[in-house]
Order: sequence, then structure tokens, then C-alpha cells
Amino acid sequence: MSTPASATETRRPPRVRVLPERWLRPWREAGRFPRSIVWAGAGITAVFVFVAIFAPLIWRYSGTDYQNIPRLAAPSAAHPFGTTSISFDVFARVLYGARLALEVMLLSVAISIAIGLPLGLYAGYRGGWRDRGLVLIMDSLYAFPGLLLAIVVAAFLGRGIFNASAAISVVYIPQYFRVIRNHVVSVREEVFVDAAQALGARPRTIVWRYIFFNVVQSIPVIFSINAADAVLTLAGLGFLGYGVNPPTPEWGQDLSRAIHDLASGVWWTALFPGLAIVFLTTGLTLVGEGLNDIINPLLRRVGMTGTSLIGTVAPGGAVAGESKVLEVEP
Amino acid sequence: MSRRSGSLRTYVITRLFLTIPMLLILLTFVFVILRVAPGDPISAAYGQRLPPEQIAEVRHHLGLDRPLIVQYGSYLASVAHGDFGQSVITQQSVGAIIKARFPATLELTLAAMMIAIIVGVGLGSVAGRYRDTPVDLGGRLFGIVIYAAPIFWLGMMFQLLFAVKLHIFPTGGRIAAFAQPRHITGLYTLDSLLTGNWSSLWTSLRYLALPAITLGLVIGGVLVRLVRVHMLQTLQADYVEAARARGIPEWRVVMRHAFRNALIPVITVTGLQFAALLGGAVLTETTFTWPGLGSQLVDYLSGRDYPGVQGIVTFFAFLVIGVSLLIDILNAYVDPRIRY
Repeated sequence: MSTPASATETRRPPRVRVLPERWLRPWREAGRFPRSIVWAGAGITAVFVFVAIFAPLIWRYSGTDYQNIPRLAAPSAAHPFGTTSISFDVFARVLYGARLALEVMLLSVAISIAIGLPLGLYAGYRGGWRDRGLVLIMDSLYAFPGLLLAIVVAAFLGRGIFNASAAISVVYIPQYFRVIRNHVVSVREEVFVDAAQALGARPRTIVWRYIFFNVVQSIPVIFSINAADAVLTLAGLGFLGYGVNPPTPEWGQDLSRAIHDLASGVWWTALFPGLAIVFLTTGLTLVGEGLNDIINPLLRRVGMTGTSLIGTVAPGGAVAGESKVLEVEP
Repeated sequence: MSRRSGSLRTYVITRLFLTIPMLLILLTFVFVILRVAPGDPISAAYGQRLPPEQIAEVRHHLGLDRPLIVQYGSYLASVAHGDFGQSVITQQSVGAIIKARFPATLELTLAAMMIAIIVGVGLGSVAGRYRDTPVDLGGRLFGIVIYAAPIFWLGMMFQLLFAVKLHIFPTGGRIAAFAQPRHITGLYTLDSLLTGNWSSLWTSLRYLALPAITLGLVIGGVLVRLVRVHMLQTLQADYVEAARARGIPEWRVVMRHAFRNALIPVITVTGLQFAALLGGAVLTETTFTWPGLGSQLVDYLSGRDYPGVQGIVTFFAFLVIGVSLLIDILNAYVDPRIRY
């Protein structure tokens, strides 16, 4: 307030906006889900986390056991989800697949944050041509179908848990970058930042001590959007053969095998891993919706537009982050 | 808005110029990823079967031993020429492959878009009209659950039910060569219509049905939620109240007054989903062995065919950026406030 008008004028942040406000408003007003459904989502997610941790205690087979297991047996008491053409127990593979899905999900999000957050802080605070350059690069990546980007990267990194996570994170780095960067641009205008500058604080101190803790709150919201999407992207990669190394249990890869069983009418190898993906993704999405309702309005908008416009089309996987609505308006 | 708001023409020109660096960045990114990563097309294609000196010879022939910067230059030149270089595996021009395969992808995505709009707009407006009823909740849950389903899995379930069990549709592929209509656009359904070839129309529709429904439902799931909120918002607008006050029947208010206005933003966002549609097409084509660009891309990737992958990814980048440019311009045309 005490800053001279001319100073604020020159530092006014650029208006970053793709969709007009009047189109975004209804999302905030109409987006709320009944609490019970959000809790159901949390419950589903909790079940998967439990399964991922305690898989060995739950079931007598592991995902890669094949001895003394019949081939392509229909679901029965001994093998509730049936068995595959290479004598794997489908139930065991579904259980252990949860472990892998959650691992890759957490790892890919961690990589995205580790790269997207510092870059966003840097670009947002620094401004100028470096900012414009980074924004342009990230926007270019963001505009491109996420799944394709992930496939191209995964195909050339090779298979493996870390490689798959890295490939998936390429899709989300631009999202973290954009949200953090735009948030920094608005926080940078706050009086306490001016005060810190006036006191002679170094840029590094200002960024980490004053700005970081303000913008870091938007991370959980983006996380809740990406989490569901990462599971789908991993499945998509696995389906196309770029996930993890077989015989590691991974739902998408199991589905790509199951496609050959379909012609002979074998349905159980395809149905159950797919249902697992549907349930986990639904659970994570609902939790995300709930989080969006709770966290403060500015962030909520970032999140809502994120899940609702962006996140929702993940054709099978992955493309969820496409539309350009993930913006924080300064 | 702090800067002077330019005319529409200025905006379009600026936007066009911004497109160039975006494209360059994408091209460079793909180029770098493909070259830096281990593995190369020759070893992937010939494996251990060739002695090292012969592999070196093939590499030389294809120009893979030239300095990266030279390869980069010739790659950009080939993109500028529109032929996208030559496939390593099939030795064909990638441009020609794209030309041959794109109609299949276009047909699939157009059909999927139509289904998405029917499902999305239909369910979405009903859900919006009956807000907070079970119908509404059902529509929204449909949106979430369909989003949660991997597209290829949805396709597989349809294959299982409608092709394997019920024999209504074929499991995959596209119409057989002998039954194809005369080539006009390459979209077989359209070509059959144009030539009045009803039997090939019927066959091409049967092949198109399952992949298009799969892709269309997933995209439709997003639209449900979009249409719903905009319908909700529009139904509360003053002019809708005014229409009601004048005693116009409710169905007419919904259909004539609210519906069209609710659709305007939806069209924009639908356009923005284009990239998602392309990504989904890759998985759908792979599931249904639909001979489009997506399944070709997957083949090229597994063969580490750099020029092939680069060509198709570049072509997709052109499409995505072209469509988003078009939407931005349309928006700026419709809503002058957008020209920032």
C-alpha cells in the first residue's frame, strides 16, 4: 500500500489467463461433492495403500509364483481371480500391482516436484527473459499430448521403475512449474517481500524464507490431480511395453498380455487388473476433489480447473493434463 | 490489459509468431531425447546378425554417424520440406506414411468426437438441469469413473463383450482391402457415402464402431462435467429467469435459452481436449489394431526408428499447436477481452 504507484505499475505481473473468469467461476460454485463420496474415495485409496504394504501377508502366492499353479484356470476358491497363460495367479498380481503403482506414482510426483518447484521459484522470482524462456519451454511440453511425451521418453530411457517414473514426471513438471511460477509472481508483489528487499535480504533468502512457504501450499492440490493420472499413465506405458521389466507385476503390462487371451473367451486376466486401475484411480480422484474443496479458494481454483478440465480426459492413461487452464491468476 | 489492446489482426500475428518457437522447442526436445538415449535403429533392426563394420556402413548410409548438429539441421530441413525424412526400417518416406495413415486416425477421432459430444452434452445437460438429484450424481460419477478407466481396458472389455461373446462387431482392424470404397478422402465411411457404396459403408461402420465408442466415451466423460456446470450456471442467469417469468415452458427455456449459451465455453474446452484425443487415439488404435498414425508410432518406437518417431511426433505437434492456435483466434474473435 505504501509503495508508490509507479513502482507497482512497473512490476505488475503479466496477466496469465487462458479461460475467462466467467467460465471458471462455475467450477468453484458447482464442484462440491457430497462428503460421503469423498470419504468413499479416501476409503478406496486406503485399501490400496494397505494392500500395497501388506500384500505378502494377504495372499499365499506372490505375483511371480508359477510353480504348482495351473495355466489359464478360471476363477475358483484356490485362485479367486483365475490364473494367466504363464501360470501366474491373477489375484496375487493385482495385489502386488498396487504396490508398484503406488511406488511409481510417488516417485514420479517426487521427481516432478524436485524439478518443477525450483524452476518455478526461479522463473517466477527472477522474471525477465529467463522466465519467458522457461515458460515457453514448459508451455510447449504442456501443449503436447502427455501420454505421447511419456511414451517417447520411456521408450528411449528403457524399462524400469525409475525410468518409468522419470518418463511420467516429464508430463507433470510443466504443471508444477506453471502453478508455482504463477503463484510466485503474485506473492512477489506482497508487502512482506518488499520489506525483505528493503532490509537488504539476498534473493536466495527471500525466495526460500518468504516466498517458498507461501507457494508450497499449492503442491498438495497439484499432487492430488497428478496422483490419479500417474497411475493411468503408468498403465498406458505398461500396456505399450514401456513400463517395468517383466515379470514384475504391473497392471498395464498384464492387460497387454491379456488382450491375447480375449479371443478364446478368457475374461479374468483382463477384467481384474483393469478393475484395480479403475478403483484406485477413482479413489485418488475423489480424494483430490475433496482436497480441492477444503484448501483455500485461490488454490482450490487451480485444483478444480486442474482436475475437472484438465485431469479428466486421461484417455487411458495419461493425457490428463492437457487443457491450458492450470493457471493461478495473479 | 495494461498494454494497449491491439486489434484482432495484431493478436493473430503475435500468436502465429509465438507458435514458431513452441514448435522448435518440441522438435528439439524430441530430437535430443531420441539421440541422447541409448539404443539405435540399426541394432534394433538387425541385432547381432550383422558384423560391426556392416552396421557402421548402414549407419553411414543413413547419416547416423554425422555430427549431431548436422543431423539436427537435416532433420529441420526435412520437416520444412514436409517429407519428414526416411524411415530406417521400411526405407519409405515418413511423409508418405503419414499421408497414408492419417485418414484412419482422422476418421477415428472425428467419430469419437461426435460420440463424445452426444454423450457429454446429453448427460451433462440432464445432470445440470436436475441438479443435486440422483440423476445429477450419476452423471458426475460417470464422468469420474470413465476417466478412471484406462482407455485400452475399456476397449478390451468392449471387444470381449460385443466381438468375442456377442459377435456384433469385429474385434479390430479396418475394412478389408477388397471391400474398400473408391479412395477420395481416405475416410472410408465418408468415401462410401460419397460413392453411394452402401455395403462398404456398413462394413466400415462396423469396424469403426468399437474404437470410436471407446475413445468417444472417455472424452465424453469430461464433457459431462463441463456441460453440467455451465448448464447450472446458465440456468441461473437473469435472462433465463426472465424467460421463465414470461411464462415460456420450462423445456423451451432449457432448450432454446440456456442450452446454446451453455455450449459456447464447452466448444472451447472441447477444442482444448484435442491433444488428449490424440493421446487416447494412440492407445485405442493399438488396442483395436486400427491402422492409423498412433499404432504406426508405437511400431516405430519399438524399432527405434528415429526418423519415423520424429516424423509422427512432429506431425502431432503441428496438429496440436495448429488446433490451439485456431481456438485462441476463434476465442479472440468471439470475446474481445481475450486479446491481452
